[in-house]
Amino acid sequence: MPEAALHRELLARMWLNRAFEEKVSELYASRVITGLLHLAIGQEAVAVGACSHLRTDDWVLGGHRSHGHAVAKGADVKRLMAEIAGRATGYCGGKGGSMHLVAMDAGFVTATGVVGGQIPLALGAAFAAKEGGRQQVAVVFFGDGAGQSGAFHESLNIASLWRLPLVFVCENNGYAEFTPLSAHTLVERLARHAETYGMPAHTLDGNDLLAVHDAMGKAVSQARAGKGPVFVECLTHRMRGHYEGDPAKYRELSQLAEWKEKDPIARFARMIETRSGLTAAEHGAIEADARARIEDAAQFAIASPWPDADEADTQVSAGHG
Amino acid sequence: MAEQSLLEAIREGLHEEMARDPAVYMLGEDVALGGPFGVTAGLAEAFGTQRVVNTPISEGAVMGLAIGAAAVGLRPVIEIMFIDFITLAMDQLVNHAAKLHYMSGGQLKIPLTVRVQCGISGNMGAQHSQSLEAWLAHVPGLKVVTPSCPADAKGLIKAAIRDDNPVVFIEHRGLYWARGEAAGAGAAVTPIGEAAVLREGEHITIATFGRQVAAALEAAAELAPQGISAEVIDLRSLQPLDMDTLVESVRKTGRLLVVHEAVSEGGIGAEIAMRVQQAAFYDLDGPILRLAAPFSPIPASSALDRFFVPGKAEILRAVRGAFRRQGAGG
Amino acid sequence: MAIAVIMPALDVTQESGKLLGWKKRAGERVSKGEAILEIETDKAIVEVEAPGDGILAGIRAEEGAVVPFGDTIAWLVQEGEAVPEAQASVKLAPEYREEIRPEGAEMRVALPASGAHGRMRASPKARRLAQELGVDLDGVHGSGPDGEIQAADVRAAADAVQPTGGTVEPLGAAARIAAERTAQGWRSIPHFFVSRDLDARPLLALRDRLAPEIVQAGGVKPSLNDLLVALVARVLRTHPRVNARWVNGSIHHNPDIDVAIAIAVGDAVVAGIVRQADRLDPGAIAARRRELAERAQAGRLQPADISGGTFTVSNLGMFGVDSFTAIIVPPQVAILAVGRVRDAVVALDGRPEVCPMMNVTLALDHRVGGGRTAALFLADLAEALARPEKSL
Repeated sequence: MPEAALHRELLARMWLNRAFEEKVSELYASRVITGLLHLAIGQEAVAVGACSHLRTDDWVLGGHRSHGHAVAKGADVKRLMAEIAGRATGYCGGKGGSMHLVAMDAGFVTATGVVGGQIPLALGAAFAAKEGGRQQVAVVFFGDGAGQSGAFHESLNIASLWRLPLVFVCENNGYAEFTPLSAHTLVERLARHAETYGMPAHTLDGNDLLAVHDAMGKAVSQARAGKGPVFVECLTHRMRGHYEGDPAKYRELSQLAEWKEKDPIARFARMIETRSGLTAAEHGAIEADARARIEDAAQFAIASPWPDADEADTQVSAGHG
Repeated sequence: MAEQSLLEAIREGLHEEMARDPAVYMLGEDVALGGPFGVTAGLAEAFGTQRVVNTPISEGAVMGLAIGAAAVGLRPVIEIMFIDFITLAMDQLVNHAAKLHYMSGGQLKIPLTVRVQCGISGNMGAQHSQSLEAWLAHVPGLKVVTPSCPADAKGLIKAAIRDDNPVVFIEHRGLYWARGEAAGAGAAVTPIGEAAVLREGEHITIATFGRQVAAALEAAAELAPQGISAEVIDLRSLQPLDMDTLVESVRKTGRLLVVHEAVSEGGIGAEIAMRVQQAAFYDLDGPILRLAAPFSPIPASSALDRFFVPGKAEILRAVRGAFRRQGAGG
Repeated sequence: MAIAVIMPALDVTQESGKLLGWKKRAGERVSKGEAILEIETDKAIVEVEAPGDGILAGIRAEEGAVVPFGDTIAWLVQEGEAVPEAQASVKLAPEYREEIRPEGAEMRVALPASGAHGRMRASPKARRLAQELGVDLDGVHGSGPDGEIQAADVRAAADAVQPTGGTVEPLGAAARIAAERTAQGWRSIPHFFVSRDLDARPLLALRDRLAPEIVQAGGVKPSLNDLLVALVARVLRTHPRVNARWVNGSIHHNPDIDVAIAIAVGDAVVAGIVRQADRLDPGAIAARRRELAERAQAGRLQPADISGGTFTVSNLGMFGVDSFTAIIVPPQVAILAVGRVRDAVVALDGRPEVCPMMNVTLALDHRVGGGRTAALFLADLAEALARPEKSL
C-alpha cells in the first residue's frame, strides 16, 4: 500500500477504535450497557499499530481493557457491541461481556478479566502456531499492572526459552488500577524484565502511531521468521478512569491536560497533514465514517434480542465434536 | 488374563492416543525423562521431545500454555507432579480452562487433559499427599475422573484426551504399582460419567473411588458371611457423578456409606449425600454415612498419617455400626 | 562389629525390592563402596554398595527373592566374628490398633447422633413402607441402632398380621438364592428365544461308540448331555458374544468357557460349573458332572463349583420334555434349553422318515446380540452335532 493510503487507513482504524469506546461510554451512561467496563480511549495507537501487521489467522489475546484490540484485529463491531451490551447476537451470545470477548473469526482468541491471565494463554497459541508450521504468530496485549504477576515472569521465561513466535505488547499507561506504577515496582520500564529473560525488548512512545507501527513490523517479522519472541513496551495513557464510573481523582488535572496534548489521533493527523497531504475535509470524512459505522453497531446491539433464559446454563461443557 | 500395573496402563493409553492423534502433546516437569514415577517413560523416545515437552517449574504458565494451545486446536496433556501444586495453576484452570467454552459462547473448546497424582503414600507430609478432587469437581466446566484399576486407567485417560473439555485425571500414587487385568491393545475408552458396580449387594451401598475401592471390596467380602450384603460402587467419575447408578443402588439397599481419603468437610461425600437423600429419601433405611480423613493437614510421620487413610477396618466398623442392634453394645 | 546389609528403600511408593543377584559370594572380602548386589524395583535396576569393609556372610536372601525395604539380607563381619543371630530390623511405627488411636484423630464416621428423643425413631423407608402396608408404627419393635424402626421391622410387623390360610412353604438358602437370581435375570435381561430341531443320530452314534471305551477305562459313562456340553463348549469358541458377560452397559468377553449345567437338588436347581469345558473330552465332562451331582446331594458344593459360569446348558429331556425356554442367569448372556431325543417323522431326501430328533432353544440377552447372533450359533451347533468327530 502506498504510504499516503496506508496513513489514511491507519487513521481510519484509530477513529474506529475511538468511536467504539466513546459509544460504549455513552451507552453505559444511558444504562443500555451495564457491567464493569474498562475503556482504552487514548491508547488507540498501540492496538492499531500492532494489529496492522497481522494476518487474520494470527492470534491475538488481550486483557480487561481490550475492546480496541478486538476492533483492531478486525472483529465485527456489531457483534462486539452486542456482546458488550449482553445481547444474544453478540460474539459470545452475551455470556462473555466486556472483559471476555472472543472473536475467533478474526483471530481474537480471548480477552480475560484476570490481570496477566492472558499471557500464559498466549504462550499456548504461540506454541500451537509454531507446531502448525504456517508462520503464524501470536500477539498478547497487557498493561503495566500485569508486569508484577507471576504469570508475566513465568511466561517471559518460557517464551524466550522455547523461542515461541510471540510478541509481548505492554501498554504501559502508568497506572495499575488506581495506583501509579511507581508505587508498585522499582522497575518502571517493564522491557527491562524481558531483557533479563534474554528477549529483545524495546520501549517506545505508544502514542506515536508510526513508532508503534515500525517497531511492531520488525517484531512480528522476527517472530514469523522463527527467531523467537520480542517485547514491545508502549508508553501510553488512558484518558478515562480505570473503569467507567471511576472519577480518577488520583490523577492531577494538569497531567491529563498534558496527555490530551499527546492524543494519538490528533498527533498522527497533524503529522500526516504535512507528510501525506491529509486535508481537514478528508479527516472529517474519515471520522464521520467511523462514527457512522459505530452508530450502526450500537443500533444493531440495541435492537438485538436478549439471550433466552434457557441459555443461562448451556455450553458449560462442549459436546463431542 | 494379561496383567499390568495401573502406571503401565496409563502409559499405554497415553502412547496409543499420541500415536492416534498428532494433536496430542505431553507437557510437564521431567515428562520427557519419564517423570518422577516413570508414567511417561518411553514417550519422548517414541514421539520426540517436540511432542513430549519438559517444562520449567512454572505450573501457572505451563497450565495457561496448555489451555491456550487447546483453544487453537491442540489436545495437550499436562502433568502436574503432585495435585498439591495444582494450587499454583488454579487461576488458569478455574478462570480460563473451565470457562472459556462458556464465555466464548461455544467459539472455543478446551480439549485439555490435566494429569495429577494424589494421595497419602510414602510419608510425604502435608504438601505432597492431599486429595483435592472436591475443589475441582466444584468448578463448572471441569470434568474429574479417577481410576481404581489398570483397565479403567487406560480407558479413562483415553476418554479424557478425546474429550473436548478440560478433564482432570487424578492418579492415586498408592495405586501406581497395583496390578490388575489389562485392558489390552486398542481397548475401548471408559465413558466419563459412568460409575461401575463392582459387587452387587442387598443391604448397604459403599460408594468410593481410587485406592479405597479395593478396601471396600475386601470389606464387603468379609461382611458377606456375617449376613451383611454390601454393594460396592467405584464412582470413577467425580464430575459428572453417575447419580443414576448411585440412586438405583441406594433405592435397593436403603443405606449408603461414602468413603474418601480427602478430608471430611466439603468433600465429594457431602455432595453425594445431598443428592442421594433428595432422590431417594423415602428409600433410606438409615442415615447416610461418610468415612473420610480428619479435617486436618496431613502429618508426615508414619505413626500419624495412617489415621488419614480409611481402609478395610474402618469400613467394616462403619458398616457394622449401621447394623448395630439395640442393646448389642458397641 | 558386624555391619548389616539391608535391602535399601529405593522408592517412596513401593515397599519391597527384588534381589536380582549377588556380585560377591559369601566369604569374600569387600570394601566400603564396592558393588555387592543388584536389585530391581518397578522403575530401575540399581547396584547396592557395601556399607562398610568386611567379609560377606550370613546371606539371607537368594537371587529372585522379593524383600521388604529395610530388611537385613546379609552381614559384613570381621575375621573370626560370628554372624549376628537376630535380624536387627528397622522398628516401624506401631501397627494400627484401635486403642492407640488418639482422641481427635478418629477417622470420621458420621454416625447418627444417638440418644432418647421422646419421638419414635423410624427411617424414611420404614415410614413409607408403614404407610403402604398399613402398619401402625406405634406397635412396631425397632431393631436398629438406638431402637430405630427400620424397613425390616415394618415388614415383620406386616407379615405378623397377614391373614393365615393355606400353608407356608419355607425355602432353603439355596432355593432362596436361586429364586432371587432368577427373578433378577428375568427382570433385567431382555430375553429373546431362537429354537432349532436337530438330528440326534450322530450324537447317539457317538455315545454308543465312546461309552464302552470310557467305562472300560474306569471312567463315568457319558450321557447325551455330557456330549452336548462338550460340543456346545467347542462351538462357543467361535461365538465370543454368546460366551460373554453384560457389565454396566458393556460386553465383556470371557477368557474361558465355563459351562454351567443345571443339577436338581431336592426342590431346587443348582448350576454346577464345568470349567474350560471346551478343553475337556466327554469322559472328563462326565466325571465332573458326577462329582458335582454328588457334592450337591451331600450339600458340600464349594463356591468355585457354582460360581463364575459363562454359559448354561439346561436339559429337561430326562423328564420327557420336548422343548422349553429358560431364563438367563446374570451376568451370563445366554442359556441353552435342551429337550428330549424323540422319534419324529421328518423329510429326508424328499421322503418322510422316522428319525430321532432333539430340540434346542437358545435364550440370548438382546443387548448383546440379535437374531443373527443366535441363529449363527445354532447353525454352528447343528453342524458340530452332525459331525461331532470333527470337533471332539
